[in-house]
Amino acid sequence: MQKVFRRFHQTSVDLKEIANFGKLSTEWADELGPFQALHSLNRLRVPWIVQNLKGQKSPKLVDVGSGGGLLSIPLARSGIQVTGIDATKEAVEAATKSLKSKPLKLTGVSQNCRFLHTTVEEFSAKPENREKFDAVVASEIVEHVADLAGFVKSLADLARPGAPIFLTTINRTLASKVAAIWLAEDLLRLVPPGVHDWNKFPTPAELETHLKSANCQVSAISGLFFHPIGNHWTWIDSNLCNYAILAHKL
Amino acid sequence: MRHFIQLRNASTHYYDTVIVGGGMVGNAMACSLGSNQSFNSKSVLLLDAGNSPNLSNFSKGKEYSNRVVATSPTSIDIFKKLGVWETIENQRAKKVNRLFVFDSCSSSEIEFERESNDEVAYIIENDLIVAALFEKLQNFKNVQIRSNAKVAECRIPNSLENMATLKLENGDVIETSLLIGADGVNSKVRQSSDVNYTSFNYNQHGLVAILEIEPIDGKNETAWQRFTKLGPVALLPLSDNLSGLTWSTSPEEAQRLKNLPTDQFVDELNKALFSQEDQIAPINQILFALNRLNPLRKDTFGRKSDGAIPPQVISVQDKTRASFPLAFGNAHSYISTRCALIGDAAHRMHPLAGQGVNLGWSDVQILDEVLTNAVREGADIGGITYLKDYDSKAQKHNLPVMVSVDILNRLYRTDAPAIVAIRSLGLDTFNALGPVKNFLINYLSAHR
Repeated sequence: MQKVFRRFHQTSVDLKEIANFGKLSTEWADELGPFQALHSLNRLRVPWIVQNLKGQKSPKLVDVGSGGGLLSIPLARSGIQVTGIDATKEAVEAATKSLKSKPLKLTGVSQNCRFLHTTVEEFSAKPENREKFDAVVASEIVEHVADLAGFVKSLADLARPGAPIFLTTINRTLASKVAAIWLAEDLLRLVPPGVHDWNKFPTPAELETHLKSANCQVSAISGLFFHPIGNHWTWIDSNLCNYAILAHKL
Repeated sequence: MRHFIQLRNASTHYYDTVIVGGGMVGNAMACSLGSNQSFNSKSVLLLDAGNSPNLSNFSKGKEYSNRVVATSPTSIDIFKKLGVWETIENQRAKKVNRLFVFDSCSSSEIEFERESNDEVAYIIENDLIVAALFEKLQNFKNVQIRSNAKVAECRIPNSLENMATLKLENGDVIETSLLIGADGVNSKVRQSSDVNYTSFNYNQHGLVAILEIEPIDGKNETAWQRFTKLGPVALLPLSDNLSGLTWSTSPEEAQRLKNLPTDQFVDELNKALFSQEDQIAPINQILFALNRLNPLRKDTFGRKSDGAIPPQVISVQDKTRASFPLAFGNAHSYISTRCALIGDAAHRMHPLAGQGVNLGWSDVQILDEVLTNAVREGADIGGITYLKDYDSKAQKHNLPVMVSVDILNRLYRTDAPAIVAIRSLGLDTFNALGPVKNFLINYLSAHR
């Protein structure tokens, strides 16, 4: 832990969060395990991202907070060149290991995808990454970071001018306290207890402010609704709970 | 695995999808994936155990093949979508605008008819459909075909970590993300998977032949089916003076009929179609009386309405008689990891309603939709998450049809007066209930 602390001492990374996700690293690939809602969220977020990159031939995308590669791998399968970065070492190891599987190798997914153990600050500080990506994704991660403004700034640094930035997260409302904490964690145990800290959930207004100061313009905000029975998601108008933001780097 | 690779002259290939079986359903699946935009960058392999079919065998004037199917309007829509309907129609497809069902034991009858220009079905030769689809497949860059390719061994994995693997008789090894079994009733793919399969024999054989008939008013546009004690006899129009026969009867009878001299065979067939010997008079009297009470009845004064008598059979074409056993079968699940079963490989039913292969084409349509979603959402196409959508939709579509037809067949294989009375009343009532009948027609020719 000491080593990790030293390495990430000036970042948006929250060490408690890193420890939490380290423990869960063996469970990433299980479609019906603790990450089932993230697996089913792919049915919405993959087409959302792919549609917005239509017309570009193998665009370069960075997936910040890629975890076990749950979103990176389907995006790579859709023909996108994906770099997944995550601050949790065990998650990156699990993701990298899955790229070695025969199905991903034979289908060319492994060649389209790589995973790096790093923080977004560290990664975006490197000149070879600065404004080099055709798309930036931070899905279900901004609610886990310690310094939201710094995190959003780093995301923007990675995007080339005009590139889309895709964010999904949870709003800080009474509804989300009931749905994401009491129902999802405590009552239905859809996600492991303690995974979410309600106080860190950003509101759309907060995110929009941070995006603006990072020279990005919000193009669309849409709500996401999770149906626990049947484990599926739908797009809705209300942003009271889960929501998605599409922004563009100016 | 290792001995696969060590075989001499053998090579290992990978395809995103492999379809085993180049029949009416397998070829349709290949066509469907070939024309599917989301499969543009995916590779599809079709393995056909036979020779490549030739469309020119089915041009006008050529002999008719004895295996024919009643293709439902829904299936015609699928053909149109796949771009093969024009090819089929340009060869030969006989439009049927009326289906007439009657009973050897009573005067009950039922008539299915659609608006003058709508068809109830088209009668088409199996091999013509296979050939038209095969020809279309040549246009798709993402589809490869191997003819005369026989599967020696088939392995279906337990998890997505592994691929499905096929070993061909020539030693080639093929790996795939999704194996689609379209290899018929004795499906090797099904047998290699761990799905349970329920099946039973009907102790009936289906006897097929090409018949020359005496058309009524020069037209041959009605499909006829008469239920007899041993099973239903059906005449399916192929041209103005030719019809395909599907005669379900006991295995012994089928054997005997198949070997009869032509003229004797024709006599027996006409007897099966016209004989009044088995009619039960009291039931007919009840039916007549009830018909008089029906406020919706057509005023026919008790005589047969026009067009309620099938055409006389004149002759049977040489060497067109063949028979095969009839059975029911259904896989409890049409899928397992990296494997989907379609058509006869998944389900099998009595031919009396002519629905079997139509259900297979419905499978193709459902599976194509499900795979489109999987690709759109960046998923592994062999994953249970998506395939189970196919299983539940296809089972829900197929089972009601299969079970109803099974019950019909049981109901009509007896001449016990009580059963005859019940079914006759049922059939007549059903015939009189326009809305219910329309619902059934629309279900069988669904989504129109």
